Amino acid sequence: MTIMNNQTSPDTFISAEPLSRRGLLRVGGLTIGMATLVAACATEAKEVKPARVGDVPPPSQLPDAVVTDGVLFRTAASVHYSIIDAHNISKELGNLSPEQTAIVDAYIAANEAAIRDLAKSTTEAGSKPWTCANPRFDRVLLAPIRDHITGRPKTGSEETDVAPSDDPNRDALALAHAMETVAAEMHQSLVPQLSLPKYRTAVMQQAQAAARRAAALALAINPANIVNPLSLANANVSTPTTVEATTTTAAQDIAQTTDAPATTVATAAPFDFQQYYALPSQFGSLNAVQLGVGVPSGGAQFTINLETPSLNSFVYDYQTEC
Amino acid sequence: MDIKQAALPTAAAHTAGESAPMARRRVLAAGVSGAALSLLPWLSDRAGAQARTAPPTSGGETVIAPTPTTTAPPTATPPPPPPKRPTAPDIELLAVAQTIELAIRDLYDVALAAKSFEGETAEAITAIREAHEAYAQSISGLIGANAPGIRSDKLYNAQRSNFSGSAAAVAQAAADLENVAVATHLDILGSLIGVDATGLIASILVVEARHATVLNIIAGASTLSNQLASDGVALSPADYPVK
Repeated sequence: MTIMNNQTSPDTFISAEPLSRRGLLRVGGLTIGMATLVAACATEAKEVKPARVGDVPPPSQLPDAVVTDGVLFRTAASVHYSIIDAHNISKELGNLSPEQTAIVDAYIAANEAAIRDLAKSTTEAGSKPWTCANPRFDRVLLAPIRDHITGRPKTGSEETDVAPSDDPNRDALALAHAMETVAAEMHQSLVPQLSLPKYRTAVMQQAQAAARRAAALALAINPANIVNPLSLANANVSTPTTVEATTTTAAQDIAQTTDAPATTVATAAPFDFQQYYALPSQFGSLNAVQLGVGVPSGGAQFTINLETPSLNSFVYDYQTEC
Repeated sequence: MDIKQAALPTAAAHTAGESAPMARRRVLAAGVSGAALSLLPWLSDRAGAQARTAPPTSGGETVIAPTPTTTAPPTATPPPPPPKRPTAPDIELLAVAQTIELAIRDLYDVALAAKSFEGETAEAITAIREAHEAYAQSISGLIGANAPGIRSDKLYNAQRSNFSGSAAAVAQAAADLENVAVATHLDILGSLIGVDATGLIASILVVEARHATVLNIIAGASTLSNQLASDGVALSPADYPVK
């Protein structure tokens, strides 16, 4: 007869005797020791490709992107090509007068000359000259600018259509001015990045020429815009008096005896379009050039920041196709 | 049915000769099992699926794919960065540049004192004058006690007579002088080593080029080529030494 009790069968014990504390420590120590021994004896495998579940193609290797003097010259040339594209947009959409067209044509020729000079510098720096526009500049900057001059139907998550410009001539000249300003800033920004003094002189030759073009165009747009009022204030020169639209408010008069309600009469202030100055600052600025184009809506105008090229818009040596 | 208290399996129930070999074997087995369990995570990593380097063919055979190649040319090594602070030769060049800037500022003072300009034009001339003073001050900030802080008398005396007269004549003389300043700074820029100095001179000359265009227009230049004229000849530091 089997004796029933609350104990497990002795045959199921891990040891013949109940494990003592010392026995448990001994077993644990032995386990850790063996695991350490096996791990130490194992060959170290370098995990070149981490473990992955499923079938995936091998990742493509990106080429090294080294910023050399040649890359900087290639980038500068690409931006000059984009500036020529922008000037052609101005001619195409801006309803330019013959005088304005002559100015833009001269600027296109000047940018073509700059490209030729930069191609020589590119070759001298050991790179292959770049012969087309900067793809990122065109895609991110020129495309939306063009859209706000011509107008287009809404796309994607946009709520309304992009309205055509109310004054394409104004926007076209603003675009041309902004492009020459960007050219000057770009070359100035390259100076600390170039390794040889002679290359710095080469880019600043282009910078000063572009700055002259920007100044001349600013005065062609508005001959009164010589000096930025902020610069005048810095120079302790009395700033020109401006007459702003005023808002007349007949506030509630607590002493008023009549029951007539207080009235507020606001004169609609005209939209202040962006102004361009021949002398915008005392020193050459590297800030983003702000360009406002298109019809004002809701008291604001579409404004885009034109930045000097950086790592994401450089034309690297491994880029071989336009 | 009676439930009896079972006797515990004590040592008395087993003889020493029967239990000792059995216990040792079981302890070893437990140790090996524990080691295997502890190594399980490490082994599972190795047993995981690996990225396939070649897609299977339709026939089920695996073909070794060629190693992906990049079309990049041999990597160009970037040049070592230039020093940030002006070197000793840089300081000499910057000192010359400062004496030129102060001479130009004083020449604009001559024009303003002669009241050659009025209204907005006078404001522009004043702003340009202030800009040249700011350039001289910036150079002082860069080279500190090495800054001469004085104008080039040679340049000032040579140009002084050109800065009093009609507005157009003075503006033309000023435009020519700005073009000389641009050319001089371009020349200096080709010799500077320190990055700080190159950045400063670049930011100065790009605005002086704008000054020249504005002054050409004030002087009455009507054609675009005249407005953009940039035929300045650089001043040699050897000809305008700092006293």
